[in-house]
Amino acid sequence: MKKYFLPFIVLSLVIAFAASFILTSPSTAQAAEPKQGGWMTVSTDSTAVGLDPHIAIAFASSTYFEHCYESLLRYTKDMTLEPSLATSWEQPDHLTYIFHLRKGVKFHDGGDFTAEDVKFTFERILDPKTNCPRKTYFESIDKIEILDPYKVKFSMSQPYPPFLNVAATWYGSIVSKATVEKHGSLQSEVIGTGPFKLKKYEHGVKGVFERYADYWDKPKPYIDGFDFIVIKDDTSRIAALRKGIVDVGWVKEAQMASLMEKEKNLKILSASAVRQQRIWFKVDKPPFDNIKVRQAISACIDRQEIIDTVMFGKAELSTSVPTDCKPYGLSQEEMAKLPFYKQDYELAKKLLAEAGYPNGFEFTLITSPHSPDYIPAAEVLQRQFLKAGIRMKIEQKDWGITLKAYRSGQFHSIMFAGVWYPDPEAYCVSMFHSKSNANYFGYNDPKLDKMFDAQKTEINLEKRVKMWHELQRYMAETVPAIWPYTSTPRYEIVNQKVQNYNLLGNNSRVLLRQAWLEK
Amino acid sequence: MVRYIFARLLTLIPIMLGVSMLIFGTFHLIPGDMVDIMMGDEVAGDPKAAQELRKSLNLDKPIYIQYGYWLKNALRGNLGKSFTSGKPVMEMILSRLPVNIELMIIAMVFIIFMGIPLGMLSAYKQFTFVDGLLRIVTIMGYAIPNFWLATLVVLVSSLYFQWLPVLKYIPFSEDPLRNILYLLIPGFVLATSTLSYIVRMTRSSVLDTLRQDYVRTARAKGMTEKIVLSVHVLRNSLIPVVTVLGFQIGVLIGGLVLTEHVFVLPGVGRLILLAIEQRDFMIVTGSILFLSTVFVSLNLIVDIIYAFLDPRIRY
Repeated sequence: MKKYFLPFIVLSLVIAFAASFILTSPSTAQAAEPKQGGWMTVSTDSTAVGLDPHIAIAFASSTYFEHCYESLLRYTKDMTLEPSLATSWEQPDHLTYIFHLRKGVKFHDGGDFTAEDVKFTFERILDPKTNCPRKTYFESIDKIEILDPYKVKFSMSQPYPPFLNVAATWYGSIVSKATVEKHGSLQSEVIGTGPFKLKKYEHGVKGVFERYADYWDKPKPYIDGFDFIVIKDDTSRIAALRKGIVDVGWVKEAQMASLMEKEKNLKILSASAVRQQRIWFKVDKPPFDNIKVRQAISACIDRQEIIDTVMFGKAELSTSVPTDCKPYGLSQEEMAKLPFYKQDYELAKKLLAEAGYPNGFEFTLITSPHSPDYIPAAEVLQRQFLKAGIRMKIEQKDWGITLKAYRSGQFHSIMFAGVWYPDPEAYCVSMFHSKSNANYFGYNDPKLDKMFDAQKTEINLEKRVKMWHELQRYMAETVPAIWPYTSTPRYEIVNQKVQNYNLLGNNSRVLLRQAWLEK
Repeated sequence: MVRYIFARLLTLIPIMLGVSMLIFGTFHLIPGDMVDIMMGDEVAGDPKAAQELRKSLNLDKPIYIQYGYWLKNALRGNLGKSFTSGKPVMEMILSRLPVNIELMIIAMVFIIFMGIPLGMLSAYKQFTFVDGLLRIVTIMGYAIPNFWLATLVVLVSSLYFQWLPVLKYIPFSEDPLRNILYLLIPGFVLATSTLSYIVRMTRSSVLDTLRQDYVRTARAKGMTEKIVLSVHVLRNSLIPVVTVLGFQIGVLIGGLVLTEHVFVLPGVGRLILLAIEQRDFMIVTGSILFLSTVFVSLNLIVDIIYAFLDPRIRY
């Protein structure tokens, strides 16, 4: 009975998911006219840890202030770039960017947006006194010059390909020079140019966002505003969605998302699969210092099995860069053909014997119940490794301790998922470059270092994409770490009356600016 | 009597000192670093920024110095400033306290005005169907963990009885009637286990009292059952019940956290849960100290009431 139970559940969920996916296609291109007005209730599962976009970098914070601030560029639904506070830009040479700024934009307190604010923003980010944790993304900026009140010139010290992508994220939120000079800190003062004003903020309870009447992108936003309430408990959040108390809410679990598909008054939106699962290895000590051991481990894994059982089919293959990191990620077909990506115990056992471990070996994997898929994935892996004689012990630790162990390098191997990054670099370079101080594994591969350094300054997009394809293949071959799968970080569940809204690949809800309510 | 009250008040000092040291010390034993959590899920942070943050939050000073500062401020009513929101902790607690007070009041109303009469009914109708039913229901009510009951209520209200008023919080200032309406169910869930316990306690206490000689005498004298009930039985049965209520206050305060969490109410319980997760040291120690003070004080009040009720209890 037990033998058939799990496959039956998996099969029925996969069928239900596939069926509903066909029925509720995300691109419902209705010619309906957006309606003005209405108040929404959006729920989240965490509360902000400060509201300053240059200091409070936790996702829990950005999910609040992202509605109030804007950057020079912004992302569209498909994660491509479009103008925002900059109407156009030029790159006269590899080291220079000139941005033409939008005229007539006002901050929430009435102040005018000019080039002064842009220069001030980036200087604030780079100022060591600000302690901006995202400073490293902007360190290539050498000089910022104001050419006229609506034209800014950025001079880089070296070619920096990710610049435009990074400038489109909330890392580059433009703040008002006048506000910072008046208040000193933006941790509680939220004055931006974005579509919504933060009218009220109750820590841990809710935020009230009101429509900014003077927003430049008229006639947006369509809704009058929304309550942003914190519901930590998944069951309560889902119940609130069902009852219509909440219009928008997300879940992290694939299983819960598939349960919601049956609801008639709800629809499921999913974003790009950029949440990679990663198994890191400490490579400066045996047994993982031997490349053949790592290759053997990769060859033991049946990635599809994990995707089907742990993620209910709602995941896909990944290399060091996910497919949805466009246009750099390899396609799913290409990934399936990579070395060691197919389960092959003969190959694994051969490699182990060559490495000197014909009878396998023991190691410990640290992970945390922080996300619902970590432990189940670890258990499936444990079973898969055992068939080659590799005995993996799973050590479950609290999330805070897991992070601490990771950063202090106190682990044999450790597994937890990552987040979206604007550039493929951030998914792997700082972890494996021998000179990086975020390289907690002791990884040192001079050839890899060279490849990393080369892509860092390649401005030509086509050439850079090719470099990244090569990098992904090389890393699949040398296995500095394993990326068993990647999935969407969250499944946004919305009430049927919410129109024209989508969750962005980086979990940003800024598209609320274009959402409207069907009454 | 005055001596009794005075003596009890004096015991507050060693109790609160011990409690505060326990709270402070325990929280430091929780593993995981505040700065890690503040830097977010992404592990791209640089160690230099972390060190700066640590210093600015006083986390690098020895523990007894941190305790000293904290205690000194606490005695003045200043529980420090939250790490994560910058607001004074006392202000955050006080702004959320009304929800908890309302919940407690609603729970107590259920317990006293439903529990005691039901208990008496059960005792008077001993050996009948009513008594049997009540005994079964109260055993269940007592055994079911209140967070499970809360989750069940939330689930049921979203699947079948959509009209049930739960999962929303309407501030009292906005609409007092609806505010109370949406707190009734959470209040009842919170009260459930204590309610069941009180019903049973009252029942057994009344049963005991009914067997007493003076009740027989009163009846023999020809007093109506109503007078017997109110004059003799009620007052005397309530003594053990009040004692139990005193203990149960702690249970209720503890139950607040889980009830709030499931019913999404902006109370102190959720504040504590949130602060623990964010390792916001100031909020956690401040609010637990606050709640402990409330608990100890309430207990003290119950003890004094008890001393009034029962002249046999004096020092």
